[in-house]
Amino acid sequence: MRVVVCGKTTEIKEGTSLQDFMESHGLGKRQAIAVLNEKVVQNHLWPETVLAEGDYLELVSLVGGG
Amino acid sequence: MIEKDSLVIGGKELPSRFLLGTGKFGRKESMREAIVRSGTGLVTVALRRIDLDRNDENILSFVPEGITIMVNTSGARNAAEAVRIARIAREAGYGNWVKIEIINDSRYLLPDNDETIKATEMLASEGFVVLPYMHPDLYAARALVKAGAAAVMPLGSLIGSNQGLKMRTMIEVIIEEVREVPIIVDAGIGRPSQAAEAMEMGADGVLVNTAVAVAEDPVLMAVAFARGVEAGRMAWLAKGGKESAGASASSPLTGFLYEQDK
Repeated sequence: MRVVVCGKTTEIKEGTSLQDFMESHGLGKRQAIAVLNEKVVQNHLWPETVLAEGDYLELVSLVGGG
Repeated sequence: MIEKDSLVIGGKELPSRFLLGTGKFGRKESMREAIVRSGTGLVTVALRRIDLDRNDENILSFVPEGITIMVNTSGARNAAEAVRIARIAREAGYGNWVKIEIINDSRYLLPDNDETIKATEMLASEGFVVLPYMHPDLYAARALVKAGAAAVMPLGSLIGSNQGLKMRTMIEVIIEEVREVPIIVDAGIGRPSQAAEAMEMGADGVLVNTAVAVAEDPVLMAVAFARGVEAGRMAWLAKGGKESAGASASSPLTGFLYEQDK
């Protein structure tokens, strides 16, 4: 199944939850904001959010800035 | 006598008129220390796409509790992109303070006032506390206030340039004419003396990043800036004398000892 993550097409297994995906990339709740199809998915909803074919996932985080 | 004199933005009283950006710090621990020691109550942060091959530490783990976080919209080239960034930050739980920074000039990094006004209007109507970074133009400043800005932040000089108050006269005009919201000088302030100068002119606050972050001792520099801001503010409140072309003695010139009538 294909999803687009940060602009890159990525192959993932059927039934992968957002939580699974984030954990497999070492991204905890403190580091990342998940924006799925232009909507922020709150941290506590990651486990029950299952990624679907064609989803567009944008991952952002707060960094230093002026 | 020094009375209580706080900077209030969007109904919030800040403990200092010195605001600090969190970019470019070599060590995040120095940044934390700079925040604590300078006494600033507000820091800016940016939102960036995560690089999945690199795991960066969350900047917020180095910002002490109780400090107001203001997310900037850096990277936005127009109002729509700025609005999107602000909404993501708020939905993710990072509060509703936003510094609008819309830049589509890659050489001089100057903010686009027209797009900034549009974004300010949209975000203010959605309940954000909006602090637009702008090119110091009186009409734009007025439009920003009308659009709902909680403060107006004219640039002192080119961002990151350490050139100080190159825009001095135009900022003075804004300070004089725009009384409804605080005026914060943002960008280009390179030395504490320049921060003090901005405050002596009547600015309500100063936002500094590069000059502190790239100093060999960022903590000491942050404290120096905070004191510069404080000194300038006190001088402004004290209402100094006018500059004059001629001399005026500060000691009495008459009645010398041993002086004799002729």
